[in-house]
Amino acid sequence: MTAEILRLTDGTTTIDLMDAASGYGVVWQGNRGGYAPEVSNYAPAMNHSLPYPPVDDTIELKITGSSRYNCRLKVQELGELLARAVRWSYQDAIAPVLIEYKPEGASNTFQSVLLGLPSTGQMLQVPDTYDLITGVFQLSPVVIRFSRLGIWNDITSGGNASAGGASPRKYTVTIGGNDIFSPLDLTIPNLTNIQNGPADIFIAISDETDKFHFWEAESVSDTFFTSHADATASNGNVQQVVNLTAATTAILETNCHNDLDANLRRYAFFVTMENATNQPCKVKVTGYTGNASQQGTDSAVAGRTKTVSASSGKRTVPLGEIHMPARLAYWKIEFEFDNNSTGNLEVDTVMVVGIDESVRLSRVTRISSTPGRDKIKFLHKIFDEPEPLVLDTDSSDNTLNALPTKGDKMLLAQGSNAIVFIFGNTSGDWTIQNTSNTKFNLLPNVIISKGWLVPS
Amino acid sequence: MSFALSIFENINRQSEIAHYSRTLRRLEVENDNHGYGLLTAEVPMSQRSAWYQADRLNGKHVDLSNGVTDAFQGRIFRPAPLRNGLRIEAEGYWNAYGDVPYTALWSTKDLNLWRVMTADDISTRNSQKWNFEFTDLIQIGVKKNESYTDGADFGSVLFKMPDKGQKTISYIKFDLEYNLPTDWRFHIVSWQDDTFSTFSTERQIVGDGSFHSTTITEPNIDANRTVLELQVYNNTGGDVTITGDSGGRFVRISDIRVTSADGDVYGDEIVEALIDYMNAVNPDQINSSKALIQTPSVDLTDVIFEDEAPSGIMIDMADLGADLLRYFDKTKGLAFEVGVWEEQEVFFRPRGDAAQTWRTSALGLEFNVDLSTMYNSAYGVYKDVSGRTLRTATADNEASQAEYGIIRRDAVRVPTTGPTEAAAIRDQSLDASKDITPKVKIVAAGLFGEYGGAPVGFYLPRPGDTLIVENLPPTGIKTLDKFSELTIARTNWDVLGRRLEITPELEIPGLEFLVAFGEHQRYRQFRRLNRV
Repeated sequence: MTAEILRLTDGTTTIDLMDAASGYGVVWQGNRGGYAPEVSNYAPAMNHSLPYPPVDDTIELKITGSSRYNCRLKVQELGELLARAVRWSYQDAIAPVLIEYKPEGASNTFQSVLLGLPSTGQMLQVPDTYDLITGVFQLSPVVIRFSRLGIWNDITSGGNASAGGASPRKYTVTIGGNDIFSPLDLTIPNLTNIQNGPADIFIAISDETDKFHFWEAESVSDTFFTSHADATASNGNVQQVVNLTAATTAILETNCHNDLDANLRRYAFFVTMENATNQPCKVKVTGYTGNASQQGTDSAVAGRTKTVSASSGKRTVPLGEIHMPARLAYWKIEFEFDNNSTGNLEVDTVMVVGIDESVRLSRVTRISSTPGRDKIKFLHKIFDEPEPLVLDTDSSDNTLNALPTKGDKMLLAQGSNAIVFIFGNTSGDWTIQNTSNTKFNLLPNVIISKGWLVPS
Repeated sequence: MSFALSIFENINRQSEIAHYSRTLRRLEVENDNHGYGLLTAEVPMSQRSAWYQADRLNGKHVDLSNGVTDAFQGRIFRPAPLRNGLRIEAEGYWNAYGDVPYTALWSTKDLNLWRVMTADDISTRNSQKWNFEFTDLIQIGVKKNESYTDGADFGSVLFKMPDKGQKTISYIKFDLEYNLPTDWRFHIVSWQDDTFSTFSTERQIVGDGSFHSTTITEPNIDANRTVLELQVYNNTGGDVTITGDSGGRFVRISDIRVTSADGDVYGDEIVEALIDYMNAVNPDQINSSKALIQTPSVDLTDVIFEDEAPSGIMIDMADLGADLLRYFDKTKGLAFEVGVWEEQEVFFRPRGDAAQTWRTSALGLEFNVDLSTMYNSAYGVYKDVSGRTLRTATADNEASQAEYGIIRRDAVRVPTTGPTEAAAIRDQSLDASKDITPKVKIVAAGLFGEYGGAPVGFYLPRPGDTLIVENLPPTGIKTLDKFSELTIARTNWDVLGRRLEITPELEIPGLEFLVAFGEHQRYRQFRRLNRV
C-alpha cells in the first residue's frame, strides 16, 4: 500500500523515506515492492511478550543524490540508524528506532519499533552500480530488512476507574474499543504512608469481570472456625481457630459455580491468612466439578500442599493452580497441622483468578512504606525500552524505584473495559492501609496504547 | 498469565536487579527428583554489556514465576557472555546442599573404630600387661604372673569420633560379660577430646570374683565428648599379681554400638541436622524450615560421614530408610524422596506423598527389551564388625526365572554391618530388577489433568508425579503395561519453544524414555537420551 508518511526515527535522527527532495524514495510497485508490512500471527508466549510476535519487514527504496558521494552519504545515514536499532535490541543505553507509518487515507500515524536484525538476510542491501538519470545519481533498489514489533499503535485512551474503594476489589476502567490485546500503563495512586509496610500486592487484569472472584472467609462454610472481629480485616471480621490439634483439619468451602466464567477450567487460588501458632500449617485447595451435595462423587482436583510457617504474620498465600476437567462448582481449602498447635490461625479472604490468555497477573512485593512514595506504576515501555518496568514513585514521579515483581510485568487488555482486581496486604494488616489506620481508597488508572495488526 | 525471569540481589527477593521477559530468546527449565534443577536463559545484548552483567549476576537469585506458580527458583551459577548476548544458567537450591562438606558419626557398630590404648596416649595405660582380642568382640584379659599396680596399669580400648566432626558422643550400648577379681573395676570413661585432659566416668562396674553377663546401656554421655574409653584396672588398694591362667579374668564386650543421638538413629534426624548445619553456614541459600520432613521410622545402625556433601547424604537417607521400611513393613513400601522446591525448603517424605496425576495420549510408540539389566536372583554383600566381607543367603524370584527361563544373579553391595539390612536391600533390589524393563520412546500429544478437560500448563508436572498414557490398551503384556502409568523422573520445559520432554522413572536406573508434548496437541518430534 502506498503511504502518506513512512519514516524511521530515533527521536534525534529522522529519515523520511518519502522525501525525494532529501534523496530517499520508496519504490512503490506491485508484488510486495515498496513497503507492505507483514502481519503477525497470534501466538501467545509464556514469556511476557505481546501475543503477536515480531515480524520481519522489507522496504525497497531508491536513494538519489547529485553525486555518487552524496548517495553514499545517504546509505551511511540509513545504515547508522539501522545499526542503532540493533544496538538498542542489544540493550545499549540509546533510544529505540521507531517506524512511523501513515498509509494513504488513514487518519492517524502508526508507530512500531525496530527490534534489530531480521531473522535472515542483510539488514541493508545496496546495488553495486549507479544509475544516472537526467543528471541525478540513483541507487535502486536499496533494500532494508528488519525485525519489527508485531503490532502497530496509534492513539492512547483510558482513565481512572469508575469507582474506587479498598482492596480486595475489582475496579472497572473504560479504555475504549480495542480489538486486539494491547499494552497498557497502570497506575495505582494514593498509597501514601503505608502502615506496617512493605506491602505485598497482587494485581490481575482482564476485560471480563467474572474472571476473578473473592470471598470473605466468614461468608463460606467452615469447620472449626469462628468469626472474630478485626478492624483491619476486609469486612471487619476474620475466621479464627485456636489451638488446632493434629487430629483435626480446619476447612473453608463453598459453592462457586455462579461466581466465575463458566468457560474457565484453570484457576489460581490465594488465601489471606495468618498462622500465629507455633507450628507450620499445611494448606491445600481442592476443586470439585459438582456442588456441595455432589462433591464426594464428582471429580476432585487438588492443588499442591503449601506450607505456611509458624508465626507467619499476615500473608496472601498463593495456593497454586488447579486445572479442572469442567467448570469449577465448589472449592474447599484445608488447613492442617502435623502437631498440636498453640495459637491462632486466622483467615480473612479467599481469592481466585481464572487462568486464560485474557488474564494478566502480577505480584508486586516490597512496596515501600517510605513517606513520599505514593504510586505504583506498570509501564509497558514498548516504545522506549527493551523490557517493561514496575516502579513506585512520589506524587511528582520524581522518585522512581524499581519494584520486585513476579508474573506479568507488561499488562495487556482488549475490549472496552479493563477490570483490575487488586488484593494484598502487609505483614501487620489484613488490607493495605495508612498509618492513620485508614484503608487506602484505591482508584487505578489505565492508559492503553491501542494496538493494530495492520495500520490503516 | 505468563512467566517472567526476575533476578534478585538476595534470598529475600527484596531488591530486583534485573528482569528479563520480552527480550528472552531462550528459556528452558529442567527439573528432576530433587526439585528445581537447571534454568537456562539467553538474552540478547552487546558483548560488552554481557561481560558486565555476567560479573554482576553471578550468585544472584532467580525466580521464574507467573505470579502464582514458581516454575523455578534458584541461584545463578554460570553466567556466560556470548558474542551477541548473555547466557544465564541457574541451579536449584538443592545444589546448595553440595556447597559445604559434612563430617559426623551418627551411629556405628564397627569394631574397627576401636583400638588398644597405650602409654603413648596416657602413661598409666599399660597395654603390655593385658591380652586384647578384636575378633567379632572386644576382650580384655589379664596375663598370668603379671603384676598390676593399684590404680594404674590400665587395660583400655579407645574409640574416637571423626576428627572435627559435627557430632559428639551421646550413647553407648553393648553386651557385657565379665569375670573380674574383687574390687577390680570396669569403667566407661568419656573424654572431651584426644588431649585426654577432661573426662567423666559414665559407668562403673566393680568385680566380685564371679562371672556376670548383662547388657549395658548408657544413654546420657556427658556433653561435648568425642572419645570413649573402656577400661579395666586393679582398684584393690594394693598391687596384685595374677596367678591364674591368662584370660581367666576378663571383660568381653560384644554388639557394641555408639551413637551421637539418643539411641536409635533415623534418617529424618540426620536430614534435619544437615538443614541446621547448612543454614548456619549459608543462611542465604537454605531455608531452616523442617515442615516438610517426615520420618522413615527405621533405625540406622551404621551411618558415618566424612567430608561428604550433605546432598549425597540426604539421598542415601532417602534410599536406605525407604528400603528398610519396605522390608519391615510391605504396606509402607514407598521409597523416600528428598529435594528442594519452593522457598528453599527441603522435603524428605515418602515418594508420591505430594504427587499429582496427569494424562496424555500416545501418538507413537516403540520399544525394545534388553536382558542385561534384569536380575531374578540376588544376594547381599556386606561386612561384619571386624571388616570381613560377608554374603547373605541368595534370594530368588521364581516367577521371573520361570518366565524368562534363565537365572541372572546380582551381587548387591550394601554399606552396613547388619545382615538384616543387607537382606532388606537385597530384596528391594531383586524386586526392582526381576522384570525385563523395555526401552521406550513415546510421542504424545497434549497434557491434561487427572480427569482430562482442558490442556494444562507444561510447568505443572513435576518429577514424582504420575503420568497416565491413557490410550494404551490393557494388554496383559508385562512390558507394555509397564508404561501405561509412569512416574515422572525429569522434566525439561522449553518455555519459548512450547515443548515439554518428560523422562519417566523406571525401576532400573539409567533406563529412560521421553515423552514429547506439542503445543495444543500438535505433533512434535522427540528424541531419546543416549543413556542405558
